[in-house]
Amino acid sequence: MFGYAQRIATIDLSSGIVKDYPVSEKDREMFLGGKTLAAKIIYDSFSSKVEGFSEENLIVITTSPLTGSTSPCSSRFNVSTISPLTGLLVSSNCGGSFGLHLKRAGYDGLIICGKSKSRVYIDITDEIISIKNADHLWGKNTGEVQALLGGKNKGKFVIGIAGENLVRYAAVISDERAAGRGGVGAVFGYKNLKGIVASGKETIKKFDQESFKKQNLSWIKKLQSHLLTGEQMSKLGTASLVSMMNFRNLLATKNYTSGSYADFENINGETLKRDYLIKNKGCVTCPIQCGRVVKAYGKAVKGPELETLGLLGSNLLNKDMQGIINLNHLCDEYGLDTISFGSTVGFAMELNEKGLWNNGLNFGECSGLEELVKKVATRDGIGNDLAEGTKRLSEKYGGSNFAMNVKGMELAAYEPRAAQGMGLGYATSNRGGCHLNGGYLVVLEGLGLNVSGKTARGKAAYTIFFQDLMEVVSAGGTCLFTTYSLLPQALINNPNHSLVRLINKLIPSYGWLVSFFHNHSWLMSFNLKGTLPYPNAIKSVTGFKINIGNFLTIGERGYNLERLINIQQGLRSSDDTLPKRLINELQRADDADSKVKLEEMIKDYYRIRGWDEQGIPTRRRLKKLGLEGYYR
Amino acid sequence: MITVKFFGLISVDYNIRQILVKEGSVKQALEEIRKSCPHIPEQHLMKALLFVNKQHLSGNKRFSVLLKDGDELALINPSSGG
Repeated sequence: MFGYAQRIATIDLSSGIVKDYPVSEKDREMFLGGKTLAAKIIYDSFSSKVEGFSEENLIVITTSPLTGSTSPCSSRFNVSTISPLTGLLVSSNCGGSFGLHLKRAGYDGLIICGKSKSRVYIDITDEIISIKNADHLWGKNTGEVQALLGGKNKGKFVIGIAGENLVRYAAVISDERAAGRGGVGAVFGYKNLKGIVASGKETIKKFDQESFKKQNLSWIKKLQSHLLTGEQMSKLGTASLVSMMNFRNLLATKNYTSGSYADFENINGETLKRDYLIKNKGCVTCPIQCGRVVKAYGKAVKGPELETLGLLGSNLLNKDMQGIINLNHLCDEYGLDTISFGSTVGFAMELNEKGLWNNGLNFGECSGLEELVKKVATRDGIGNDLAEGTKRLSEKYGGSNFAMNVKGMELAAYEPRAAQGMGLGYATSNRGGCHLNGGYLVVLEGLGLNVSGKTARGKAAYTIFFQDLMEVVSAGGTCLFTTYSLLPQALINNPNHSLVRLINKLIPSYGWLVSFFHNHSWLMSFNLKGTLPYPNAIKSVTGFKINIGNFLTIGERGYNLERLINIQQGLRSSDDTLPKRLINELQRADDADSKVKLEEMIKDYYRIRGWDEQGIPTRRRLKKLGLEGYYR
Repeated sequence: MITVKFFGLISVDYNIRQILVKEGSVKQALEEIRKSCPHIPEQHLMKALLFVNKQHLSGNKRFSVLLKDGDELALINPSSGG
């Protein structure tokens, strides 16, 4: 088989037994890799609800056919587990080099089960998998642990102190990139697993090397010549969005009481570039180079992404860019998700402001936050409560209407009352309040294209299309940022042109057409060179007969399978909602459209997805997706 | 006076944050910007999204909007991806 190392190892931390996990060629063709293959493994492994903190829980790490292939932005790998934050499936994607090295060691993935009695790390080479003592690594930050685990030719994936202390939104770090969301780091900590190191020299054969090379060149060219992926993201990084989000009322501010921040110019991408940037950089094989290198505590470190600038900046009324850079670095070192940390602190500030929890935290007073990061990571003082996330905090102190999470996961920095589709995406995302798993429809609603964010019309169909697209791009092993190059340049470059304005106006009216193709994907059983590069790239690497239609179906299959796992975990349709603040309160008093019209969209969403009124995929839809027998 | 602020690529590519222009229409403001900043190609100015006091101006009528003393005109390029 081409494109795969053809081995997935199961490592039982309770018994120390390592064995191979069987994956058939048909499974690979149906689920590709990454998060969808992980969902398949998890679904097959659990017959009833599993707790995040339990020996039964699995950590499933999966690479993809494009991982390590040298195709653009393909250093990605995935880690899935039952989240201790949400109680649901979480899959977290990471751009660090661990996935490449895991594949070079001869493995497409790892399934880690059980719980070690002592503190351990896993050492994987192309000869042997060993479970080793990690006493000397315990209590250390992610940077130091990675340095202790070896040199450049090894891939590392480690937790910091936050994971050891079971902070429910603890991250796992590879190089300087994070599998940030959903508390995977805490599951590592629960299992007494400090990290994994992989190295090897195996090479993966491609089905059609010549065709792959040719496509690679044209794909890189496409990414480099596109305004978003070739210019904006490399020059300004994701931080470039801060300004536009502010003008569009999309920037989460003061615990989502507003979509714009008076001091946004202190924390935007332009200021980051002018006053703080040392250089830009990217993950392995990435021509986009959106990463920022800046200075914190006297050394060059990874700079903050848009999400971090939003959640640790405007959301806390924090205009201190250097302070945010420092916080970002500390979160990486302790192994904390900056989104959930920032949102939880913002919620705690509002609880304090409203007299519900006297915790000493105030909006705009952010000089003590560096100390607070440590308190959360070590669960010291109020840090112990903050380590639980917004949902559990609201259960203890009240304020559930403004605890900004969906299904227990804190929202990203996009304030959805100015982008209806983004609101629907948050509400329906399989992993909770996630912008990317939610479909990132804001890319049409003011960030990219200029479709009105006020209208709910057609948004259900577009949200589903983008959710499935993101799902399968991730499964294939490519960075989601490459999808921005799919937006027609003419529409982005000429936002004031009368024809472009007309197209933006008409897009919501064509939701029915998107819905039609979603339900008749076989009509797209062809490939368009240069339009959607992923199917061709996967085809040349694996030899799979893949086209646009069945490529998108893999995304839909994965999304539905993840939904089934969540239903088994106890998810109900009533969980597909948003914090009351976003549904009931107007963002701007003079704009009656400035709240999320969720009820209007969710029925359409279920109908187009082929789910019943309870949000459960119907037998008919599952059969269409090749998931017969997956209905429990 | 009107404060004109630049954001996104137009700001970093032409190394400009803000300038002041006289009161008048948006069209007059853009002409003044053109004179004060000849290094910014006209097509880049025309492609930028315009916001006056945070309100988006679109359509051909945007040029005739009158700017008063103290108003803020923002020019920003489309951006995405986060």
